[in-house]
Amino acid sequence: MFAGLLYSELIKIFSKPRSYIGFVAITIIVSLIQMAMYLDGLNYFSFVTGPLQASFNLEGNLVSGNMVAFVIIQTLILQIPLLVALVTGDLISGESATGTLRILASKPVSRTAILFAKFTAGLLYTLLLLIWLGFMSWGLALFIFGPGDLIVLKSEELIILQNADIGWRFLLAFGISFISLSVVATFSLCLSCFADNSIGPIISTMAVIILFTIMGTLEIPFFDAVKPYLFTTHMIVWRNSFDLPVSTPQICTSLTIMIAHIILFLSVALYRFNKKDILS
Amino acid sequence: MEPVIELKNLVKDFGEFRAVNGLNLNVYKGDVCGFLGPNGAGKSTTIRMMLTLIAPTSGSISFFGKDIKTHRSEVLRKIGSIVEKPDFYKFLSAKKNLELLARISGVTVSKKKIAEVIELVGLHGKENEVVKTYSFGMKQRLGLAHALMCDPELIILDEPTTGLDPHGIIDFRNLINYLTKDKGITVFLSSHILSEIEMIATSMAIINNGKTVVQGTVGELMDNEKIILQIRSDNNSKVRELLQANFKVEADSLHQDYTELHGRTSDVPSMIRLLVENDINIYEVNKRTKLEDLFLQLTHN
Repeated sequence: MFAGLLYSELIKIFSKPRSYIGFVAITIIVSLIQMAMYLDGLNYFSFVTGPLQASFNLEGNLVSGNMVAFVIIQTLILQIPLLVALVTGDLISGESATGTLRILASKPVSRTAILFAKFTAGLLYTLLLLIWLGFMSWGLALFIFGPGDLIVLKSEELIILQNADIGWRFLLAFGISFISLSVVATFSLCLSCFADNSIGPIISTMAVIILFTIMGTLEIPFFDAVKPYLFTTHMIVWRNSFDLPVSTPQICTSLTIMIAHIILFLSVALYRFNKKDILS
Repeated sequence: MEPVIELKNLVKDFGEFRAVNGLNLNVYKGDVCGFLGPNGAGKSTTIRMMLTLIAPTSGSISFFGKDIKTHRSEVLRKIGSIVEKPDFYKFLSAKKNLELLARISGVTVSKKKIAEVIELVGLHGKENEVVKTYSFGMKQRLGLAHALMCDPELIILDEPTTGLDPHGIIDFRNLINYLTKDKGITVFLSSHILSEIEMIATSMAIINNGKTVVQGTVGELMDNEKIILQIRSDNNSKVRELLQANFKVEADSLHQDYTELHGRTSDVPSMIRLLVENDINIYEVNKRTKLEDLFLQLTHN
């Protein structure tokens, strides 16, 4: 029965035009950046690495596929949660708004099973979106610009990664990003259980992400106490995949906190959905 | 005989507002039970509780002798339903909608069965069109197909004829007759169209303010021999005088355009003959439905 539920959830997701907005947006944005990099990438990297060139002699292919992919992911990673929430924030509330939740909830399947199917379908959608981002940013960049070393500029250090040492780091970064985006997917699904229209959960998800990001960015002692508990603080831990050496304890801590958030949001969603009076 | 549907002291509160107030109801196998009540009487809330869409505040709901709380999946497998508007996934075709819903119905529904129900409700040839292009009436038909595809033992329909054209209503009536007589399915339907219920129901329950005010078989509730006649003629006062003098009738209050009388069906031919013999021109004779009167009387606050 769960397989049937999951199958129907995936069909429903991919029958809606809004589900393709994310894929189209990634395709357009990434293509534009790739084109701009192809035409004027050297100037861009010269500008970025300008201060370093006074002390270092940088030689070789600066505009490598790995460099371009890193720049694209760093730029887009804040926008991807919106694309995820567009679909996952609609999973319950959208059905509530269109009245189909009545049919679904009067079927001989438990509400827990319905929610788990929606959760799993939401995660699969998130994974597909991330794979598409990976293909468009990293795969296409490697194809266009070819492989090469990666220069990672940090506030206090400069990390140069050899081409042979980069592939697994990108895979790790995408893996961590999947968990980060799963937090967003679960959070918007949870909000979706409280609403009867999909706009509310989508906007609320973004509002919370923006608020938490601001709280995490501002160096105010009042916020310092809560920063470690905000899921947005840990969503950027994918960058640690490009540290030398990789800071495994920090990544593990962040992953644990994000998984705890997923469990918390899912539990709240389950409680709410099971108690919800379907009046729409 | 064990009831197919048994509601006991059903209560639903929304905050301070009591939508359903100690409702009791029994529906037996093979019945076509009309569930009637004015707007806001609690019909839809009751149906939603029956289908576990909302939780009752107190009371119990049993189907086939089993409590819905403890045997939810087992019971819902045997029930087909339409609740209020028949809403479906609008970006999918009617056929795909049924296929998806069949997968989560707890019973195996073959493609042949889906084709059969599509044919039965008159959507053949339109099953591959996306639902967003469907009219309300077509969605109602699709709702019926959905309710029937799992071979249910009981069908619960909330306002099933809303949006149907006259052909659709006749088709629906024939379909209900077929389902009850040929397939032995029990039907529970709410409707505002009293004449429709009068024509197809074998039992009725009228609710008001969340309570059952009357329940019984159509025979028990409606004495078909007793009728209300409305006679439009060129001399209404003489009609009234003649009929009261010659028949056991009870005249209603005076109306300018017509005479209204409570009489007996068997007297109607003699009444008309008498009026014609007395040179009264009769323009119209109407029989007002008894259900309408019963409904108005019982639900008048």
